[in-house]
Amino acid sequence: MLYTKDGSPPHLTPDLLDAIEDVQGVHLGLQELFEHKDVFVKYRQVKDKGAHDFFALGEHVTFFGIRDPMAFTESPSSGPTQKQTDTPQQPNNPSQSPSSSSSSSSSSSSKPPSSSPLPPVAQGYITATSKKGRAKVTVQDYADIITSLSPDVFSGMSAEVEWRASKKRSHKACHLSSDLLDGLLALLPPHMHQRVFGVVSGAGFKDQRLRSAQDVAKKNVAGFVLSGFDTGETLDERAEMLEIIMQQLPIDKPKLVTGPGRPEEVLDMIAAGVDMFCTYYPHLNTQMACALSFPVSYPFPPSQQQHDAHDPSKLNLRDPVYVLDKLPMVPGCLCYACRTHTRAYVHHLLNTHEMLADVLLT
Amino acid sequence: ASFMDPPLQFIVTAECGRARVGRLHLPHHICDTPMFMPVGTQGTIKGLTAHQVVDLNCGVILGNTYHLGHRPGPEVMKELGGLHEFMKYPRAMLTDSGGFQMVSLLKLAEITEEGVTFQSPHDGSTMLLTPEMSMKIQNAIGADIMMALDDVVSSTTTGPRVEEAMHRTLRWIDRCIKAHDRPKEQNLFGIVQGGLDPALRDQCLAEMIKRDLPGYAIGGLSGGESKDKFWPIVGQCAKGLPRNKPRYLMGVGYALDLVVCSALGVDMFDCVFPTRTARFGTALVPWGALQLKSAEYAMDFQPIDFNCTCLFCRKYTPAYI
Repeated sequence: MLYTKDGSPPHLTPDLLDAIEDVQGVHLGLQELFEHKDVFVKYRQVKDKGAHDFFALGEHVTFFGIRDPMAFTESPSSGPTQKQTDTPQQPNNPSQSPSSSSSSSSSSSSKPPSSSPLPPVAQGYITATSKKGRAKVTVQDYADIITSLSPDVFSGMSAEVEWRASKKRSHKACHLSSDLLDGLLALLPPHMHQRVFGVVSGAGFKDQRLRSAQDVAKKNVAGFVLSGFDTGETLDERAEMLEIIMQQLPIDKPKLVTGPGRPEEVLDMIAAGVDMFCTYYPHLNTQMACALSFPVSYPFPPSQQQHDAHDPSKLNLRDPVYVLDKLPMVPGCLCYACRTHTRAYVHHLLNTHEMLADVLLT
Repeated sequence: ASFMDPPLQFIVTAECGRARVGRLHLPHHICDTPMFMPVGTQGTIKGLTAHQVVDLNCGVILGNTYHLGHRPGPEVMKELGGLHEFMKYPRAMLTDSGGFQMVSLLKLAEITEEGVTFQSPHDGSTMLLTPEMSMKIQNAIGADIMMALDDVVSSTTTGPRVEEAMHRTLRWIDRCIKAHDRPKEQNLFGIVQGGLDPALRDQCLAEMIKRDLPGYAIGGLSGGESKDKFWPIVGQCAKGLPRNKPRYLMGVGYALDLVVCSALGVDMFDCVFPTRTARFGTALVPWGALQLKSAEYAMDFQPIDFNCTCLFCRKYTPAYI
């Protein structure tokens, strides 16, 4: 699922996005979009339209997720990456007054009548971190965003914890994921229930992961988000945990992971049973002026002159060796950039700090 | 590009007072005038693919000799087949001579009879731009229209420097004509100087026209002079230039200027204004300019311009932007 920033794929206008044949879906992130909730609610009220229309996403499948794929960066060593920013979670608190932060969304027919207090579980919340700082996202808030934007599929609410979190914190997160899912489903209209992905929590604890997976497998959800990967686990730990989780989940529902993006890691996860990936790995490469050039189909094309001998999966187009190179970035690739332009041109654009470099690299 | 002989033909198809509508035939494209030419200084219109520029129905776009002569440089440019091939823009192009940088980078430039010595703001290296050198770089770039190297002074300059620059411009046009290596493929335009002095302008016009060039530009304006000094000079030059050749007013401009100068008989314009102002969040519409960062647009879901068919208007709302 293509990485988006504030709702749009970086550097790609709708015509360019539509022209990339291999991209079928995009990821939309709560962390960035939450602060604009009022705009989306109004858009739904005024135009009765959601994310696809507002962000001009065409026919792409949209997944609305909790965790920001970009909170992670690729570490120099070959293992998975550094820790994410922690999002503290709060358990339900029945003594809180009913949530008043949401403007009512008129499309939700199963919302409880406004005269009675919201059920306690609907007052639970998670925290989102945006440019403006931290904000509380209650179940009602989240329901409002989801009904306004109407993404094709979306994550249940969850508190993200890193792999090596304390047992206690992880345990709380497991409970939260489960309880908030129930609360969310109570607030959403029935037709949205078949789009929610249940969350498997549990950090690095096998027993918690097992219970979380068993628990969410029983619920009537469309698929599963396996949270907390790429937060400090080793590849062996990841593989082991995936096996434990997969055994508990029904085979006929999709599984999604946010985080890992390097080709080898993605392949390992596919082998383990993961179906959907939210990563900003391609965008990171664009920022580093690299074109991803690893082969994607078998048989592999004969190797061309490899300028980046120590990393054959990408070309760093800042390298002066490309100044007269008339080849496309990846010979044989059918994208607009490779069909039209040369490595020499992209190299020149990078040299002169031109925006078009990012567009073509993306 | 088709082989045309001569490489430029200009046909006036309608007139209204001094204003005219025309068809400008260039090797790479047939353009409609009056024509606004967006600026793609370093071999790209910032952020747009060549395909999108064609989609916007642009005719001629600009490249800049000073910048492209520095990066990637004439040898690389020539090796890669010229700017058309480099950028993959199929329509027509025009290159500025590098003269404007004299004004815009004046602190870093030294002007002598031989040429202009620039100090690069990027790495401090010096480059001497002579008329011959400008022609050489522009020949390597290969644009349909090339501009002569002129001695440009800021329009707010007064005194003998203005006259000196005008005369030098004439001496330099002759050097440019001599050094121009591809007259059958590229059109060299001369630039009329003379500051805000009508007498100097008349002199320059007369001399420039004697050189019988495919087209002419009105230079040295749009630099901060007051409008009531600007219009008369534009009018004088447009009127003084031959009817059957394109007239290019360099560096103009704002919407109102385009309308008034078209009425005065100008056919071609270039300016960084629309692309630059867009980078600051401003949308240009027929009735003015909209500052889309302003909070009033946060929940504005109506298309900006119901009649517009550009990508923005078809796909997005002001609220999104």
